[in-house]
Amino acid sequence: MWLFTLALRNLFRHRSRTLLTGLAIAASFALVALHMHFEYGSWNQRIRGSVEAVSGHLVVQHPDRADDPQVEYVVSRSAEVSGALQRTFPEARVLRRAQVGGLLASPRNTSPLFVSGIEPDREAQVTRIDDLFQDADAARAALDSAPEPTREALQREAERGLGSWLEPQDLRGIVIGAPVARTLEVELGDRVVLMAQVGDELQSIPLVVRGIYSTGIDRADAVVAYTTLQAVQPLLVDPKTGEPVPDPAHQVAVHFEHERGLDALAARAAQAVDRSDLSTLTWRQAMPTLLRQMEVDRSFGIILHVFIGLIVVVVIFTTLLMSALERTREIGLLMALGMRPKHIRAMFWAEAALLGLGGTVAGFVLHLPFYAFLAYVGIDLGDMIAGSSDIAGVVFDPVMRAEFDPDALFYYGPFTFLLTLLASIGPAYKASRLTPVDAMRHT
Amino acid sequence: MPIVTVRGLSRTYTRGEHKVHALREVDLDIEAGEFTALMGPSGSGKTTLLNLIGGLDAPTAGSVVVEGTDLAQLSAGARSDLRRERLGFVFQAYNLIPVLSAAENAEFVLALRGVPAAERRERAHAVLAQVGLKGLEDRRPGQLSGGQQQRVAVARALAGNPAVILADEPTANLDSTTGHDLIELMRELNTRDGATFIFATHDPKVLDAARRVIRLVDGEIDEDNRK
Amino acid sequence: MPILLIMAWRNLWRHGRRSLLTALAMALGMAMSMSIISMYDGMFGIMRTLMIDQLLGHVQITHSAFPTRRGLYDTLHHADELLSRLDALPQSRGAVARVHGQALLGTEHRSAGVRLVGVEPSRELAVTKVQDTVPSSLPGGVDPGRFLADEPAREIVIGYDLARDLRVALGDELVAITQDAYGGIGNEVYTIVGLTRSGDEAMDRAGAWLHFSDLQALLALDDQVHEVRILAASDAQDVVGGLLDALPGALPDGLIQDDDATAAISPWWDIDPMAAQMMEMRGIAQFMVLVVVFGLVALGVINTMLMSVLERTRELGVIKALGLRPRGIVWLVLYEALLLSLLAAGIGTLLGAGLIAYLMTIGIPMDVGEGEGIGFGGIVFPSRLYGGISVEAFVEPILGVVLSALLAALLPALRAARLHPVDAIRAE
Ligand SMILES: Nc1ncnc2c1ncn2[C@@H]1O[C@H](COP(=O)(O)OP(=O)(O)OP(=O)(O)O)[C@@H](O)[C@H]1O
Ligand SMILES: [Mg+2]
Repeated sequence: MWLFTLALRNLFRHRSRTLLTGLAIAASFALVALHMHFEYGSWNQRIRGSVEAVSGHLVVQHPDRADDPQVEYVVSRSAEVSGALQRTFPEARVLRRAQVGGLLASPRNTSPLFVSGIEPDREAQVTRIDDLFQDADAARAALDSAPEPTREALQREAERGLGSWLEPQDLRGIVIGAPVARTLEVELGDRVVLMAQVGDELQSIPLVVRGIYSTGIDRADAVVAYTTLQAVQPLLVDPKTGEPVPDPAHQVAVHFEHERGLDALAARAAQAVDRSDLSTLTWRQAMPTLLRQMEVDRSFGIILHVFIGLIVVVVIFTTLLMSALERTREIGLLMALGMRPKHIRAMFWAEAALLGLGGTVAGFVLHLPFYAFLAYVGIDLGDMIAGSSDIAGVVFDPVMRAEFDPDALFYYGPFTFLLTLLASIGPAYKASRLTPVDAMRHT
Repeated sequence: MPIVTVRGLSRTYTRGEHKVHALREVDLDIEAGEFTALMGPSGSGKTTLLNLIGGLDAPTAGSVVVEGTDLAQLSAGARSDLRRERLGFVFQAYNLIPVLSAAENAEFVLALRGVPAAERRERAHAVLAQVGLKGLEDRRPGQLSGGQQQRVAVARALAGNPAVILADEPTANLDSTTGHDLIELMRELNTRDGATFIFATHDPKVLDAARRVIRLVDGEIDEDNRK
Repeated sequence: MPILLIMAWRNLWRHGRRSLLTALAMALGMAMSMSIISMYDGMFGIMRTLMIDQLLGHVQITHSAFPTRRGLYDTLHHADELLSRLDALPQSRGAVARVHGQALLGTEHRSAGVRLVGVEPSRELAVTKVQDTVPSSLPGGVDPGRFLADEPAREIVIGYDLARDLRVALGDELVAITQDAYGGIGNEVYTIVGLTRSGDEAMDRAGAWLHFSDLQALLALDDQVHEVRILAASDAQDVVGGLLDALPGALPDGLIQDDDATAAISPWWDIDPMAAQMMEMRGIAQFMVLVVVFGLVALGVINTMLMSVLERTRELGVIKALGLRPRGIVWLVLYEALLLSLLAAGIGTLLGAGLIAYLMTIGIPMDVGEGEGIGFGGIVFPSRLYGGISVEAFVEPILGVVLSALLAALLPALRAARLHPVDAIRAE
């Protein structure tokens, strides 16, 4: 204990230096932690969006579909599968989907896109696409009485959705993105035709535009439209044989409130489905590229963090070395009084430990308000995140928000602390190698 | 007209609760070419008086006039200028700039004045020769003995041809022979070049050499004798 | 040389090890920011080539309704004449005409909705180098083939991912079915001659290139085109700006034959604000990196300089007594920091140059599977990213290290300047 008392006094005696070194530690920790929270938040956002719109926490689908999204890789008798899953997980939301590529045509023009066949009421519970319409309605209602400064925001909100989301039994409705509506020159209630190939035949499915949405990301909105699962089921035919499949879908997705124990849940789901022609995957298995992207992105971040750590190590090293050299006389005195080299080293390490701990804790406290800003206000990236096609159809909130990355606390925190200790090894040895006579003579 | 005029000069330090009257209403005139020693017991106010004359410190009351300029009228920057242009300092110890050689130390003040390099180099060599350091011009302070260092300090003080040279216990850290030599040197410079010196000292050798001895006690002038 | 500079230099070496260590921390920061800028140079170089050379061009001339509506009928006439006039503009490196269409493209079993782009290969070769989108090799040893021949021969080049989805290979035939300019159904058979993997996700998954005469024939468009794009002689704002100013005068009569429409001249940042934003983001991101790195470095410098000043209190007092003005003291300390930073800049430049050389030749692997790199905003980067080199990569970190050192030294310098000479000389 006396070691720490001594160390604390020493730190206190050189207040400005201690403060500066502590600040360097705190600032580096805070910066890295904020960066981690931000990355964590944006990845979680991306993953949540993809889990909502692309896979679900669990997904039951054809074994090959994860790598190769061919139209014939279907789940037959999908309602049965869906029912079995719903019985097994009464709390969860189970939904069926199919996606077909084709050409949407109006009398004026055509537009290539993917049409998602979904169950509108269930889809609405999971994704946020339907909220665009409700929010837009609310914005329109508020617009008349709104004060001037908020009008512009409301106006933009109102343009997010025209018309309405699909009704469950609507076999002919389609909801398209605003860029598609512009290209086809269609309005609500207009007719469009979905052209797609079924076997060797060209199929045309007549549809009526029920809603026009705009997530704000034109590139994504230009390629995804929504209709009911029943409307696209005639297209889910084996292209080789042309044989229709009973009640087909491309996937049955299961959504839970949280994803704890997902592997066990997957096993239960597989048991409930009990079909050898289908596989049950967690979202990690279903979206391997997304995970891999995240890993690569994170490892790039780690290089950055290590670099910052290195700079801080050198800064701390210099400070401690200087403090060792400067206290030569005092160290000599302590040694003359019978302190052994290892005690001197221990004293230096105790100082470094206090500095590291104090700096990290200060950094943690310091970063909280910034974290709060990033978490609750966020950064508006606008169109920046317009996604690759594997996430097309994911309704993104263009405002990126940080989420607390526990790694920042449980890995980078101790890491910063260890760096400080590491940086103190050299100076401590330097100090402990002085002989008392040398040290006393030194001025 | 005296070169330094001091009137009613007081300096009070506040140390926590109580006040220390380092100088109490001192009146003093120093004529050009005088070789004056300030003596008195420790704590009597010698250093304080020198610092006030040199414009290093500001008085609590009273005035210091150097060559007709009242120091109180000057800004801090202008006081710096005055020190650089008109005054020379020799302190007790460690007063050379350790990273500069003897010659560079000697020419430091000239360099600050912006004197061309060749001219000031010549002057530095000349004053170093005057103080008997010929051949040691390129040594750093660390490579010189204490007496040699003080000679460099004197050379530096002389180099700028100042009106007054203020020296605070210049011999205190020297052995008696070295101290004696230094005093002789300054005395010689005083008689030959007419440089005005004011010392603070406890050293009897200095007192012997001085033509005027002022004795301070408790911040007041107790005696003022001209020989 | 001013005496203060000499003193600063010698002061620096009074604690040579301390100075070197501090310089090392600074140099490390420099080398780090140099490598990051180099990586940005590399990544944004790819992005620029893709965005400007291949995707957008510097300026596009279209029918005024085309940018929003992309209508089949929103066409330009007399494109030949326009092209020859554009070739003559000094700010232009070249211009190409393009035709755009959409079709259901497929075999007898499978099809996909696809964007068709009609190009004139011989012109593109000299201007946009769209030929480079057909890579020299593909994952798994798949033969990428070649780009379209100069003369129309009902050839088609499709995206690599699209080819996989459609289960087709080089030499296979594809049928395109579309609505033509008369509202009828156009269809035609094309032979696949090449597969692209450009990094533009939209084209690689759902795009195809045709000879523009072939596409005009499919769409029954006669000799009309949808777009004429120009590449400026350089990316410099004034060159592109000059081009924009010169264009209205270069448009031939009868370019637009709709009464209620005009010609739209759109610079790339208007056509794709997201691309412009992404390019702009680079500047912000780079600045942030410099601020973070040199902020930390500055803390180290403050530390060293403060110590250097504190241990010299007495000496500074003497110097002040000798008549150096406070401003002179500030300079003395700043000179020392300046010299320290120049030393650091020297070490850092060497270190950074080494890292840049590494990044340029060996690069960083970023494989997310199948030879693909990370995707961002519709761009798929290659699986190995290489650094680039630029004047900025050297100048900005050097400025960063020098400015941060001077700024960091200001506090200790002011502290030194405020020293009271009497107290300072009394100090032990
Ligand atoms: N900065 C200061 N703060 C407080 N008191 C001071 C300060 N400087 C001097 N004093 C006090 O003022 C008085 C005069 O001090 P001064 O240094 O002038 O004495 P001195 O005659 O030079 O003594 P010595 O012969 O020991 O050098 C002393 O009592 C001293 O304690
Ligand atoms: Mg004294």
